[in-house]
Amino acid sequence: MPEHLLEVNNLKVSFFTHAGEVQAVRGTTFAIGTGEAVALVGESGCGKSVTAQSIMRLIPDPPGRIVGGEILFGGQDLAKLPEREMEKIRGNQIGMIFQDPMTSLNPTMTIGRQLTEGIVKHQGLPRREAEKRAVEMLALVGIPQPDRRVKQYPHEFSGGMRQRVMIAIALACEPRLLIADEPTTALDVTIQAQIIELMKELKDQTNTSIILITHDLGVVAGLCSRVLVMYAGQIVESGTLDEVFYRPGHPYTYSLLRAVPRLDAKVKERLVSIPGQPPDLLNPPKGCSFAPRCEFAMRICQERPPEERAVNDGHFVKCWLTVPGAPQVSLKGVR
Amino acid sequence: MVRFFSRRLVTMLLALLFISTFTFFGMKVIPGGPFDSEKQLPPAIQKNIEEKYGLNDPLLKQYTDYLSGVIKGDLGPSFKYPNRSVNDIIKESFPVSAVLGCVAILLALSVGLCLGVLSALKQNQWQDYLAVIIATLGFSVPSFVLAALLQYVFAYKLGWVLPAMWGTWQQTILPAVSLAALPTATITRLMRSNMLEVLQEDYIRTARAKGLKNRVIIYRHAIRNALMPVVTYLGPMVASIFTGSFVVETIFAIPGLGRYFVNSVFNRDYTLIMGLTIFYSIFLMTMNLLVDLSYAVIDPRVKLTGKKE
Repeated sequence: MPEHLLEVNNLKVSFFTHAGEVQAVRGTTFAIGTGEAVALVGESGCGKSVTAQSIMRLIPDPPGRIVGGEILFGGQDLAKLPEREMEKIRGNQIGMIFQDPMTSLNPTMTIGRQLTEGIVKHQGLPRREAEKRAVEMLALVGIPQPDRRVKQYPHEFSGGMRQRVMIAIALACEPRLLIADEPTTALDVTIQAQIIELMKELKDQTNTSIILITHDLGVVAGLCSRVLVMYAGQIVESGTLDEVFYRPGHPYTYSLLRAVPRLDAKVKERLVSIPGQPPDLLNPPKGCSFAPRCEFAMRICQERPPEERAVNDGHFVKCWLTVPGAPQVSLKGVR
Repeated sequence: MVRFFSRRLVTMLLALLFISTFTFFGMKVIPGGPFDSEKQLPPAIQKNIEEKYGLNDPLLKQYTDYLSGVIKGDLGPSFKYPNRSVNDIIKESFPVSAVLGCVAILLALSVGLCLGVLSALKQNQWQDYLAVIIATLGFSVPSFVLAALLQYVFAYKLGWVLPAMWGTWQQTILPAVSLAALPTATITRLMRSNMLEVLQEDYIRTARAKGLKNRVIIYRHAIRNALMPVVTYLGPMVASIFTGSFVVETIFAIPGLGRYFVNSVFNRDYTLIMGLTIFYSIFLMTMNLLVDLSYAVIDPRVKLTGKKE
């Protein structure tokens, strides 16, 4: 196991609304090694993005707040770092890419300016040098004619090209960690593949760790070696790509995988979905949060939350079914 | 660029022709004339005057005569102010209104932008409430009430300035404040809502993710993008403020253009009505042109072409 670059311990994030406290992240624990690419998957509203934005401390406060746990990065707890210290980490040690490249760039500023402002701030380079570096970065992310493009504005770029620019901005200061929050969701499929390929190349070149947040399991397979499955603000299963994809231990993971449309399916076959709704995080359930939707739920699932248990080397599952002596259920039919 | 300007010039001329035609025939439709008075003039004198000013020509001839004068830059003699041409009146009083307008606009811009940005940044805190209260007052208190109040407090009670008069810079303060109240309120509210909107944008989050300081994000990324609607509003506002306000100029006894504007209509001073209307129209259209040009400066997505959308 390589040295951990980032360790998130029992992170709790809540949003304080008029209706009450919405517990978006309810005790998330995971670690990421240097040069490792980890996927954080789960359906909309499960707390993936909130977790990522908490690491960057980008949660709008109010209404959001980190109410518990720690985020250890390079020996510091980011959850407790003063804003001024946090500014030195953002964009410098941790870079971030967002979902929609069409709106994530400032429309009234040249690409070059948006690239150099981080470089100037963190590396203290003079303007001229920073501009040179900006052109290099554009070339690195595969933008043709970078010395001309650097003077252009976002509206002169296509969606895929803008996401490349976002990657260039995120990587400009050679961060140790890159958080990609659904970087391909707003792009069409061929461009998605290109962006994932690019991220993979850059990861291999720079040894940057990556947290890839997505609900697209196909995207995961292209880039990551480890998968964290999140549900209702908690990580319910984690393990290597092969373990989680081929031997899922949690019924939720299993249902997710079964819901992926298959290329070899008959044309008229209905797509599989998970019945029910994710729980209301204003009043999280007492027991396992997936129990109401789980086809294998037992009485204990309604009453007590399951502990995390290792089912294999480095493969952890939070489910009562993994307790020795639990009824054997068959999760067959995946892949 | 050349096509943009030539297109704009043509449309401006067409609009001007339409405005002057409409105004010309419109004011002729209104009953009464410049030389009507309670005392009936002897018919001979009446006839003489009408002869002199060409008022007994057919309407269409009067119109074409007037237009040909305008094209040469001659707005004709005033009917009410003897021996003064409309050109003279504009030349004398426009600079006064313009100076006052300039001060008022600078005041409105600096106060309005600051208040707007501040209240957006401190949303739902006391700074925000204060700004909203000021804006609401600026909207709802009529300028003649504000003007009278200012005169009462600063001229009568405190005695810092003369209540009315024109000449020194101190005397521009009170009228400029009363004139600036409404635009200040509008700019404050526009800027506040735009800033609140822009601060929610994804690119602000990107800027934060770069580790930029909050202050830098606001100055460099937010304000510029929030400025567009204010610029749009600025064009017509500058035009109307520069051409003077009847109310404020009357209360502070300022020899500006606004008074002539209103009086010319009461007096049926045909040439003055026409002259001021044409002058105001040209000014307004020029301001709108400047606004469109400044869009291109502020927002790189705006390209000035002569093409139809």
